[in-house]
Amino acid sequence: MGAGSQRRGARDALPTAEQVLTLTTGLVTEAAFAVGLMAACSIVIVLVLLAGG
Amino acid sequence: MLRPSVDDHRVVGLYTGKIVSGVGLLMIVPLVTALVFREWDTAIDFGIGLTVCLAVGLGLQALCRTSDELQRRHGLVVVSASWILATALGAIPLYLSGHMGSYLDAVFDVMSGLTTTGLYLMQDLDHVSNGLNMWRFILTFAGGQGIVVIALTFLFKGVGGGLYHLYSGEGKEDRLLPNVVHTARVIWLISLGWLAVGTTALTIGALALGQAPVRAFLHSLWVFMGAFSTGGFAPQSYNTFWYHSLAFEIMCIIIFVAGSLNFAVHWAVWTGERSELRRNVETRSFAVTLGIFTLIAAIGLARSGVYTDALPLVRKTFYLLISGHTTTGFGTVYSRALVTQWGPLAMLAIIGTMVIGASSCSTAGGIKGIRIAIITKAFVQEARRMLGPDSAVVTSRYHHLKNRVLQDATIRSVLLITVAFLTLHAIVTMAGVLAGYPFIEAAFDGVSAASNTGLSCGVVSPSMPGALKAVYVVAMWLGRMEFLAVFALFGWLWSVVRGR
Repeated sequence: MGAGSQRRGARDALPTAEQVLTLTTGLVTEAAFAVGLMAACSIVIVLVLLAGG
Repeated sequence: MLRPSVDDHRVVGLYTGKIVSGVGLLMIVPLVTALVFREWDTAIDFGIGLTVCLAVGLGLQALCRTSDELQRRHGLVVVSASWILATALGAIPLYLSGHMGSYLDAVFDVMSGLTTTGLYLMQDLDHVSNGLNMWRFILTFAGGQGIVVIALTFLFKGVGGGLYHLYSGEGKEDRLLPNVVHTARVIWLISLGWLAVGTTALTIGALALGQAPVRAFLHSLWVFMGAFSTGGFAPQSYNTFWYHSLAFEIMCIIIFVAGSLNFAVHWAVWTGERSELRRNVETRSFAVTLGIFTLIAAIGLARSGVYTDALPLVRKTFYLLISGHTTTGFGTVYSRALVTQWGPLAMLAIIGTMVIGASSCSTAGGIKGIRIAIITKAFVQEARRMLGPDSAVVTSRYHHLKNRVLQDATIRSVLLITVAFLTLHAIVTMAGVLAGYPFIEAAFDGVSAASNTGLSCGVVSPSMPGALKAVYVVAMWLGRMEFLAVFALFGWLWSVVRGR
C-alpha cells in the first residue's frame, strides 16, 4: 500500500464531524436524563417535607 | 443428561484458559502503576499474580488444544468456570498485599469488584498503594462490561454460534449489532467514551476541591470506574462522602445513571435514536419505581426528623436512593447512620430499589427494570382478560429497542429469573439472621450483596463470620450471572458424574 493510500485509510477511519456531533448529543441526552430524574425526585422529596411527612 | 466427552472438556478448558489469560493481562495495568509510583512490594505482588494467572491460562490452552468449535452447551460453562478462576487468581495480589485478613477476604473483595458489588473487607483502605487501588478499580470496570466481553473484544475472532452463549452467559442478552464480537467492541466504545468525558469532568471537580493534579486524576479515574460500572468501590473508606462536594455528587449521579442504562439504549441514543431513552419500557419502569421509593424514603426520613432542612434531605435521600436503584453502592452517610438515624421505613425503601436494580444488558445488577415492567404488564393483561368478554383476544405491547408483543414464553422466563432472585434474597437474609444480625440489617446487606449493589449498614466487615462471607461471595456470583451460567456449570459437573 502506498503512502497516499495509507493517509486516505487513516482519514477514512476518523469519525466525521456529523458522527461526532451525534455522539456528543447522545451523551448530553443521557446526562440530561439523569438530571431530569434528579429534578423530579427532588420535587417529590420537598413536597413530602412541606406536607410534614 | 449426556456425559461430556473429552473433546467437550477440551473446548471448555481452551476457552476458559483464554479468558483467564485475558484477566491475567489486565494485571499489567496495576503492575505498571506500581512501578511508576515506585511501590516495589506491590509490583512484586502483581508480578507473582500475573505469572500465576498466565501459567494457569496458557497452561489450560496448551493442555486443551482442540479444533472443535465452541457450542451452546459449552458457552455457559466456560463463563461460570472463568469467573471462578478469575476470582481465585485475581485475589492473589490482594492477599499478598497484607491488607486482607485471610484469602477468603481477598476472594470476597475480588468477587465484589468483578460483580460490580462494591462491598469490601480490605483493611486500612485509606493507605492502600496506588497499584493495589488500580487493581480494585480495573476489576470493577472490567467486571461491569464483563470479563467475557473483554475476551470477545480483544482475544476472539469469529461471528457467533457459541460465542453468543459466552456473551449471554454474563447476563447480557441484547445484541447491539448482528456480530457478537462487534457488539462487545461497541460496549467498550461506549464505556471508553464515557470514561474520557467522566474522568475529565471529575478531575476538574477534584482540582477545584484542592487536590494535587496527579492525585486528582487518579481519584477521578477511580471514582469514574466505580460509578460507571455501578460498582461502588471508592479510594477512601468514607466512600464519596469523603469529598463533601455537591458538584462531585451530581457528577457521580450522572455517571452511574449512565452506567445503569442498557448498552443497546446507549447505542440507539448515540446513533441518533434519542427518543429510545423516553420510549424504552426499561427506563420508564426505572423512573416510576425510583419515584415510588423516593416517596417512601422521604416519608420515613421526614418522620424521623434527621434532616430538617430541604437541601440535606434532598441531597442525602436522592443520592442513596439512586445509588441503590442503579446498584452502584456509593454512599454519603455513615453505614451505621442507616440503622441509627434513617430507620426501618427508609431502609426498606433502599432495599426495594436494590431488589429491582436497573437495566438489563448494563453494568447494573438486581432483578432489572424490564422484568418488573413485563410482570406489571402481564398482571394488567391478565386483569383485562378476566374482566373482558370470553371471546376477547387480549394482547399487550411494550417498547424495548423495537415494538414488541408480550409473549407467554417471555413472561415465563421473566418470572423464573425473578423467583430465583427473590429466593436468593430470602436465603441471604436468613443466613444473616442465623449469623446473629437483626432482620432488617441482615436483609439490607444480604440484598445488597445478591443484587450487586454494595451499600452496607454495617454487617459486612472483616469480623463477620467466615460462613456468611462465603454465602455473600456465592450470592454476588449468582446475582451477576443471573443464575443460568451457574446452573449450567453444576449441570455439567452432575452430568460428568451421573451422565449417560
